[in-house]
Amino acid sequence: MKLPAINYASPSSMEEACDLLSTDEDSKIIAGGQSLLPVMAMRLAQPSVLIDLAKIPGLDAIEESGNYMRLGPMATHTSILSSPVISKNLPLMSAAGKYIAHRQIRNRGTLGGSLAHGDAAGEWPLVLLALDGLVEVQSVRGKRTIEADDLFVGPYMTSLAADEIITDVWIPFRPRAWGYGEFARRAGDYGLANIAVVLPTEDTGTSGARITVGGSVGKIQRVTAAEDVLNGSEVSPELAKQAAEAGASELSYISDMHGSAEFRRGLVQELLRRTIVEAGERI
Amino acid sequence: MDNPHFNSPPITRNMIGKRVPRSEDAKLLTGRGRYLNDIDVEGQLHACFVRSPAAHGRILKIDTSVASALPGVHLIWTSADIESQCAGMEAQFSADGCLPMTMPLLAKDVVRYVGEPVVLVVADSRAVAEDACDLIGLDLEDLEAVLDPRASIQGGPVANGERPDNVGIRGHASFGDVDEAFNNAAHVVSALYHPGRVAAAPMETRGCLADYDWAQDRLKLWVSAQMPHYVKLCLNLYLGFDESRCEVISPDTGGGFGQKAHVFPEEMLMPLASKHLRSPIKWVEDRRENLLAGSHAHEQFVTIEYAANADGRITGVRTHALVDGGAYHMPPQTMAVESWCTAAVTPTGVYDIPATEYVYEAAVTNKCPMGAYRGVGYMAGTLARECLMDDLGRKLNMSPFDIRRLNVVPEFPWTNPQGIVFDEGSWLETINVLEEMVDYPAFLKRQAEARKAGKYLGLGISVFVESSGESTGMLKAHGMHEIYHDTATVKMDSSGSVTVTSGLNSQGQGHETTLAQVAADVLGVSFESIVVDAGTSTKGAYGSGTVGSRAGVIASGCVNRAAYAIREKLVAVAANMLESSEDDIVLENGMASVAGAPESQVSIADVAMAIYWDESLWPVGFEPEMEFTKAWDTSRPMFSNGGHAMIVELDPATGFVNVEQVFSVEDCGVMINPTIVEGQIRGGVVQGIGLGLFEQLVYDKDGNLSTTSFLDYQTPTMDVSPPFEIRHLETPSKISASGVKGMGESGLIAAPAAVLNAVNDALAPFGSVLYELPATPEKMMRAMQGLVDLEGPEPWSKLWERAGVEPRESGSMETA
Repeated sequence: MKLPAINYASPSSMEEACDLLSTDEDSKIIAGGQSLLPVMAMRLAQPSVLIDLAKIPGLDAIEESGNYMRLGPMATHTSILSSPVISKNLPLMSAAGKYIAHRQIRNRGTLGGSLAHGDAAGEWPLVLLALDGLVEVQSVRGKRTIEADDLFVGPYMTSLAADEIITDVWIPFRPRAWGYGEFARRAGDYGLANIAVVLPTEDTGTSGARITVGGSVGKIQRVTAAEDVLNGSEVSPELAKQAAEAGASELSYISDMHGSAEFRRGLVQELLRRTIVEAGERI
Repeated sequence: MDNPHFNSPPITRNMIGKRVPRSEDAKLLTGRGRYLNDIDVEGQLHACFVRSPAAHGRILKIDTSVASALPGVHLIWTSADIESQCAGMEAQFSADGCLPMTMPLLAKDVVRYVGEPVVLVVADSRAVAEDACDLIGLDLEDLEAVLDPRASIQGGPVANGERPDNVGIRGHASFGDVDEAFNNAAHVVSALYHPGRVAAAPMETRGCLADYDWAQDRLKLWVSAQMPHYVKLCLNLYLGFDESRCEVISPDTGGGFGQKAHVFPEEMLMPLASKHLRSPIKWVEDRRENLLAGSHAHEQFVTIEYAANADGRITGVRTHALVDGGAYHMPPQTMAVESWCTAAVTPTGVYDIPATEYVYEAAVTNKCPMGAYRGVGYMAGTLARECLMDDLGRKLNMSPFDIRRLNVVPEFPWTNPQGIVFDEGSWLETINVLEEMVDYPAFLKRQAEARKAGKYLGLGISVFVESSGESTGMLKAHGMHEIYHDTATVKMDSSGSVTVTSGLNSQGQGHETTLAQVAADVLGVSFESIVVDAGTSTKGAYGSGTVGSRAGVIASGCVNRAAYAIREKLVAVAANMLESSEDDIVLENGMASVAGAPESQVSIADVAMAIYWDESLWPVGFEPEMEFTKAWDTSRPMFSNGGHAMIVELDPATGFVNVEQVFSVEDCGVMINPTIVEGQIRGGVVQGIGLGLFEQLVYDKDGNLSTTSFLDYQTPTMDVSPPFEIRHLETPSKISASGVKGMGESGLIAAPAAVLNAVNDALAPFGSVLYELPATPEKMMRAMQGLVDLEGPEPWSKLWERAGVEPRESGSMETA
């Protein structure tokens, strides 16, 4: 479990990073290395060049910008969790971030890395999708914006092109009721189920519920069947139960040594119910 | 036979029994420990192995040509390169019916489990060695993988040609009239228990660093091990080194738990390769290697059957223990450590059961070999005995405390059906104290109220007796002929400070503290004036190994005798200096004084100074040695006892089980250091919670291990470690130094049974019982839905017959 010899580049600007990334299709961006380095040490991935974003200035911002929070891709989990503006404006993010791994890992791992990795068990993708955020990306071809709804396309798959780098993460803040839950047997484990719920309140002024699920279902996705049950109705424990049943039956589940699909379906349904109830109590 | 080294000179307790902070902690807790991988020798190279990717296969071709050409690669060895130097390591245990098996250093012709070492690569760095391993071609022809021990023990496809019947061990015995007990029983209960396959998973993985000095023909071997002196012997037995030319060094060790009480092929290959290359070579395995090949543990299928009279008194017990032994005997422990120990040692426990018979078997399979892990054999045996006791209690509508009180041994000494004598114990008191700690009536009330609210609480208890301080006496009691050999060296300097060297090394247990406490009391000097070298080099005192809950007893026994020899020197000279009789000299608080005349005193440091430098103060004929090496052992077995109660909460919506509270009672005689005793209890019980709820090594249908990192192999962490309440009882041993008994294994011996009993108590409203561990959330969900696939025990007559005896035969001891 030792890394093979690797080529390493440390660009000082985003333009330089994009140039490097575009010239070698087997190169890979490294931010905190939370997921990439173990995979390389286990020799399951061997990028031709590691392009490190650490020396590019200004990528770790956490700030208010109009009705949005703007976060840089190199903001670490710890810096997000310890940010007062995040806990004020995006309490769901603070609640979810606590479930990320362990302190040492949270000190290294980054928001951009987590989103680009697209691991279904990751907390930030669920949060971004539930809060209807977006990412700005850059490549030698220019810049573009990707809505969270279009970002996560499959297990470890995002709509980022191979030559694109996330430069900014934008998350709108407005009054919303929220809930977050994770079933993991030990703190810091990948969740067997993880769910984020965002419900509109009277002051929200936008449309319906956004419920996202990861973990047991193998990819980051919205639980539209559950959202449909909740939209237009007042949340009650009974309605939460109905929404959870509808949501759980819409999804398909993975099966492995930590639990069969049938078991995971039960966990997701129960967590949907609990998390909707939690969000409902915040309306 | 009463050898002089069985004696324990009396000790006046002063430091013994105190909660002295551990001397080791400043170093270990601030990152200043020096573990194996912290040690570097100039010019060292690094080793890595190509390990078998298949459970069972014939080696057709090994192509090392590309790897050999890789810059930085110094050596590539296959079996052909080393078999003339070492044909493998033969292991055999002296229990009846344990058949020898030989583990090759590198697989020859056939691979027999996934992870078996096949090719050794030595290179400039571990990374380059791994690069080279990736370039080695290994062509295998698939052979049928033998993976089900319950099938393979009955024959069929062969896992390892050395044992064509797949039987690694098979034996049986019968004591008392078991048939009569079962024929006349009012109640018979039985079950088949299956604790899962686990790994000891020490935080520091295995490793060694071999440095052969060709100019002097000397070998230094740093190794992360529990039996360094045995490793040194193996350097002679297997590799032909003169022991006098070898030093085995034990650096700080990050846990062993029995896994490091083996000698591994990797550890034998490094000295050979170092000698061949004339370079130091380090091998430190990664977690994947550790989980694949570091030895597996504890998985057994234990059938147990009680005969009881109408009141619930158990009159006979039958035990069948079958271990899934893997592909080889792991030297030197062998597969016997699990199933033989379960069957032969644990069936009666603390209960006054007059008749027992048992069968033990080990099935050879194409899995990683079974090895020792804390509570070997005892864990599975205690699980079966204590959980079936709860079944009997439920059947008779008796509380878990009452059914145990009814059956517990009432007085001592007690001789079990096998003829083992138990000199003393607090077995009944343990049950009573546990019941009081739990506040059983209050628990029942809380449980009933919780059930109404849809919460399911369970209480599980488990009571044990543990053979402690593994000694020659214990081996002889079980009919074996081997003995143990352990010494300590104590040396007092001319200024009165003391160096204690133990033959038993430490994997973190606190020997540096506890042995100093003992030596301080023997010599009457301060704790601070003593420095302990806890077996860091085989140049020091000799040790048979830090295993079997023995270090606290055996090492302190040796230290007591060696320190006592110095004490006699001090007393002789002090008596002369104080013009008093030796009988009246008191050594205490650093002073030698005359009993009844405390003003007549001299410091022990001055006495030491006189012994080294002032002949005029010596009595006539005085011999001035101030350094003694002494052995200690016992001719009788010694037993500690205790019990655990656990309260768990089951979430009916998820199947998650949370351990709310642990209550522990421990009687290890006189405690040297209660803080260290409690640390052992907590650590062992949490490992038991791991085995009970979390940990499992999973093989797929082809014999690939699926759990090769801590992502999938889930050990318990602090957040699932419950609060403890611990109560100490003290029934001193009559034979050990100061009355201490061993207790290192007790937590893991008994905790899994408490977990399973608690889980089954929580499941009671659902009418389900689980007989296998770990109790994962999914198993709990299925149990709540009534979907438990209980595999019933095989009929005893069939098991008895398979062991080679007619079913009706019973009575005196029989062996296969």
